[in-house]
Amino acid sequence: MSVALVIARNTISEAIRRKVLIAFLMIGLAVIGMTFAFGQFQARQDLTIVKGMGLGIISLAGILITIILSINLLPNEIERRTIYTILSKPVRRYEFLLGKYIGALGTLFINILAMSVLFVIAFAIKQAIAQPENAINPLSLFKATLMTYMQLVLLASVAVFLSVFTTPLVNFFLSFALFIVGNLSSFTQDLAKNGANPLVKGFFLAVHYIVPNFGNFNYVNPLVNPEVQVKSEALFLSQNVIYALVYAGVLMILAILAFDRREV
Amino acid sequence: MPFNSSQRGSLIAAAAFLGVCVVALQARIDPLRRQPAIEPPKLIKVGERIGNGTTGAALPFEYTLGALAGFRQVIAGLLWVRSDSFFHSGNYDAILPCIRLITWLDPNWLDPYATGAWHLMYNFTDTDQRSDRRYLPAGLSLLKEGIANNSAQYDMYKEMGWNNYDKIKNYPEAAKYYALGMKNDPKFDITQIEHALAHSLEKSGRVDEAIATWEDAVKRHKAILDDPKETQEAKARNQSGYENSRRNLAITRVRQYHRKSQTQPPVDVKFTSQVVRIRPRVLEISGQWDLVGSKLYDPTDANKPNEFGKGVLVAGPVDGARVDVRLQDQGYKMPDSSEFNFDIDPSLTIMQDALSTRGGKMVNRGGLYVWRKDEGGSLPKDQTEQAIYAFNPKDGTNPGIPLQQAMAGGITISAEGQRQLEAISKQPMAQLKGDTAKIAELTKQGISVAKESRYILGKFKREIDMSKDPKMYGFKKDKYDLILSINPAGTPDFVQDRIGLLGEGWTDKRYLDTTTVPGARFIRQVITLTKEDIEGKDRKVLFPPVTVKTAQK
Amino acid sequence: MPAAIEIKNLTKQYPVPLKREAVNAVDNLSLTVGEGEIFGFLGANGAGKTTTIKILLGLIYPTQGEASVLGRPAGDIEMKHQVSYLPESPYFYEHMTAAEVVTFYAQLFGMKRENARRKADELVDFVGLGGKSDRNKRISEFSKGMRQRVGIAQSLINDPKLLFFDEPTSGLDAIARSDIRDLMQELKRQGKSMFLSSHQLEDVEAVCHRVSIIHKGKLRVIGPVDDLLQGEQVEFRVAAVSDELSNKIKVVAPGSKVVEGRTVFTEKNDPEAIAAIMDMVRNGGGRIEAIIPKRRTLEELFVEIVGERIVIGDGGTAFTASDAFPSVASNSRVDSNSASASASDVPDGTVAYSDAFNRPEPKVVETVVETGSATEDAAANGAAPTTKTRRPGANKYKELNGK
Repeated sequence: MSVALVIARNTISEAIRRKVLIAFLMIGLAVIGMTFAFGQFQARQDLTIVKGMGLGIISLAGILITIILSINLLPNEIERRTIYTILSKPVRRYEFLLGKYIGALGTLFINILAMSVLFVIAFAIKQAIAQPENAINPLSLFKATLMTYMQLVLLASVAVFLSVFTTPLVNFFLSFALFIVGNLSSFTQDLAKNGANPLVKGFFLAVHYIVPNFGNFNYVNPLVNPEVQVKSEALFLSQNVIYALVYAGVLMILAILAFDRREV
Repeated sequence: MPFNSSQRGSLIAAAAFLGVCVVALQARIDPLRRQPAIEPPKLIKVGERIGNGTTGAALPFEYTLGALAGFRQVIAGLLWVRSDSFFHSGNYDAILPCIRLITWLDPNWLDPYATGAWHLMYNFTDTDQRSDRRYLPAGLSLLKEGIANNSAQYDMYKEMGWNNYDKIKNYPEAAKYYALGMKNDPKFDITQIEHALAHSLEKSGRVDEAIATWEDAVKRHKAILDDPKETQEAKARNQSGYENSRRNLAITRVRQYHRKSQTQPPVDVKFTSQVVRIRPRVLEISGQWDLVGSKLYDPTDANKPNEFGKGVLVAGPVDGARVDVRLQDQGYKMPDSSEFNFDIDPSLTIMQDALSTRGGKMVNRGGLYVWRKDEGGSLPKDQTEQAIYAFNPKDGTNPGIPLQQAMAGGITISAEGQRQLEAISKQPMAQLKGDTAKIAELTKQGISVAKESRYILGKFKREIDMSKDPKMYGFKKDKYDLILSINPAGTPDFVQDRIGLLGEGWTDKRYLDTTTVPGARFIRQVITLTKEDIEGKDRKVLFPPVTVKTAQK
Repeated sequence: MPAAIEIKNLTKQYPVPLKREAVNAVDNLSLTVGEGEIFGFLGANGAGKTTTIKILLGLIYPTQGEASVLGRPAGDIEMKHQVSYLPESPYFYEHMTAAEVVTFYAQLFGMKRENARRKADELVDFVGLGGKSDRNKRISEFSKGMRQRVGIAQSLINDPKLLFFDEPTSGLDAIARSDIRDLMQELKRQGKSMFLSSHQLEDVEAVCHRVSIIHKGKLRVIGPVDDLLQGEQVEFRVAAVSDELSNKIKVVAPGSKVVEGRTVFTEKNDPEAIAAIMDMVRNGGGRIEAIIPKRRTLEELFVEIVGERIVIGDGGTAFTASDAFPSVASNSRVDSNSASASASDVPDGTVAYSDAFNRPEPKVVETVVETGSATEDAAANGAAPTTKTRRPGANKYKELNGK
């Protein structure tokens, strides 16, 4: 396992130097900064918009970074033939794959943390100046970014799993499509509930439970609209964390099984 | 070396087990996730069109995609920024689809409902700033949605209450929503909700409940002021709320006490009106009504709410009471919808205006008034508060007797006049009689004593031009109701002091209406006009019907 | 001597999309490499060299057959502790320095970071990148030769018993090649086993004990370098040749020339023929100054077997040049004078020389010229199947050019 961590560390050190990822991070930070430029609204509206936009941008930048990073984790190593030198060392394939995945998670963590911290600080300052009646504890914004991170943990596992047997381009669209479908899981749940045809019902039920439910992690509303009352918040958040980890675990086992047989 | 088959088998088994855990977890997460506080219930469909005609729009594909991908708040924020720029450019039509989409995307965001309703209720106007009342049902339905989606917060009830109170003037409905706001949100704002509830109850004629509400508000404010845990800021806010609620409580009690007797017997307002077509779609509506005899009560000391015998003044002006004029398709009733839809019926015509009544005056024999030769009868503020009228007769002569002359003897100043004199001079009558300097000063101000009782009826008149806004006033139907009405609860307090909250102090032989709002006595005249009446070319008196007299020579 | 590598009947097939039959990238390959042996594994691009190495390292899996490395099955994790691999044109993480790269690889052997760093420094020095200016450079600033040195440094971390070098000098300039060759000589001196896949024949000739030639996945020839290059012809140098003798010689050897007053010609390296010529010269009054056995170059052997010239260049472009742009390839070497081998009657086309001194008559090898030879790449890409034409190499270019 320590070998996996060596690979993970190497993956992070490489990924944080990738121009495209840095670009997304910078754009994310810049746009977060820009959301603070709205001046035409009342303090309360202004902060509502800033919260919604800021958290959304962190999530969007995170998704792009995740997909672009994860779909290329394996193909890059193969294309550049670095995988040969690594796998000809006493490195088991699952160690390699886990190392790359953990490296991706570490990279994402750094990215999300950088954006979140900047955003929370900026928001705290803005809120302190504006003093709206529905002020929130700025640190509670981390609840949303934690959920975003867990969403990305799951998304990365999807992309890594798919990267074992698809090209990056196909993977890009597949991952995105799954992300959208996974965000629509309430829709599929309703279709399953309301469908008349048992076949249709079964299909949507399967989609609802099998496709990773990325929509679980959109925990923005209670922070943007702090007046709403959330039932069992702690339970919801912790179940989501477990869900992401367990589902990512399933996908990584499947990825390991597929990668084990794969020729590189 | 690849895994052997038993290793693969164990891994597959582990994955299968974890997969079952995933499904079980999702089943547990679903109910929590589907709570509206976390996930807005309305899903946006790709390309779903909202609205029709010029106001119609669909969420652009990339926005829909964004919304589907979990960026509802981002899209809502973008739309809000856009609608703000539409607002600044005066493009209200474009705001409505934005509002529609925003409240779907982020139904817990309160500002768009409030702002959207404000646009709908107030900002769609004709060139003369008359609201387009076809949008009122949409405004109300938007607020209803806001309430449905945010039923545990007082904000939307407050908006609904205010729009009913101020725009629709449906006070019982306003009271209903304010009461719901109090009931559903324990953290309601006392001033914004409970004070408004008390006002709404009072205007609904439920004075006992209004007083109880004021008493409750006083208690609540006091509790906050006495709570050492409350912040200074909260206390400062509640201090003025406390003072206002005490004052309003006192005023309401005074009114309740006095109006019982002072509104009787009912005054006959003798409402008359005239409707003239000036040009096509331009109507001049005028009329007059008698509201003399109204009375004002002024408890000057809020800390002694029960000493309301002091400072009572009588015989106030009626200026400020308004006559509502409404021209609409015959038989139109405002629809009631709980789902917001900003589409309006383009064939529907509704015009509503409110015409101020001015110039009503009454002075009784022996009463005081101010004679102004040059000015139009307006008094310095303190004298207005004493409710002393100014007379400025057209011929420029004083129809009464200057105070000095009257005090010198011969003229009896009525009891009412004496009270006024005591109030204005701030000394008892006996003392004033010897104070020649004061009498001279008051005389210099124009104070006179009336030789006879004089009445001037309040008049209203306005030219209503509907020719400049053909989109708003389509006149597609054949018949129209022109409704002239006065809602007693909508009149100023000093008018109500005479006519009562529900109109119990007035009557009219022709136009008293007790059916529009059960329990209330409206003055209401309905004139039926045809399309031709409105659109005809020449000047024509549409009401009252002109009887053509044969010329007699 | 125990075997470092043992391959038995190894076959690797790649399916061709939409086709029933698969392409054999490696076809029934059997060979053994002894411990301490430097073994040259020659073949044109796409002959199956890299495929074979990948199978041995467990990067891909054989369709049939067996392979073991250092007595353990191919791909075994314990085996990997004792071998190393230098892939063709290796790429390293560009943002790192040479020492960082080697440290990273060292950690993959489970070395502690400190130890790994120390070892890396040693190896970087060993491959000549320890200089002050190189030490702080990132890989992205390295030349191809320097990268190759990094590759060699990383391949030596575990002091391997067996090294797999895949085209180690490909794409390098002459000086860099010579440096790498020196390094390989040094490793040879240290007694390492090496499996050297190359088409740089000079390298192979310089360092290998034994070589094999693989073509289209099949082993075509295997044996000690000297044996394989042993000539089939001898050169006569005859002085004092009369006109009469000259005419006689011209009958036997029409290509005879006069060089510095001596008649020079070549003849088959056949004792009887040599004796006959010696008799003829002596009888004609000539004086034989020398009979020189003529050694073939490896290239000549390769061309005989493979039917193609080696095109100098790195792997990828060589394939492209000779197959996709044959005219370019032919321009690079036009003097194809040795496509003279005849079709063999040995069924599998393999000639094995077990012993340099006791070898059978060399029966050189079927020469099959193909347009678009089957390569891993071609197979993987589902390229068009090969068209077999039995034509000598020289004509091949004409043929291809004519298309």
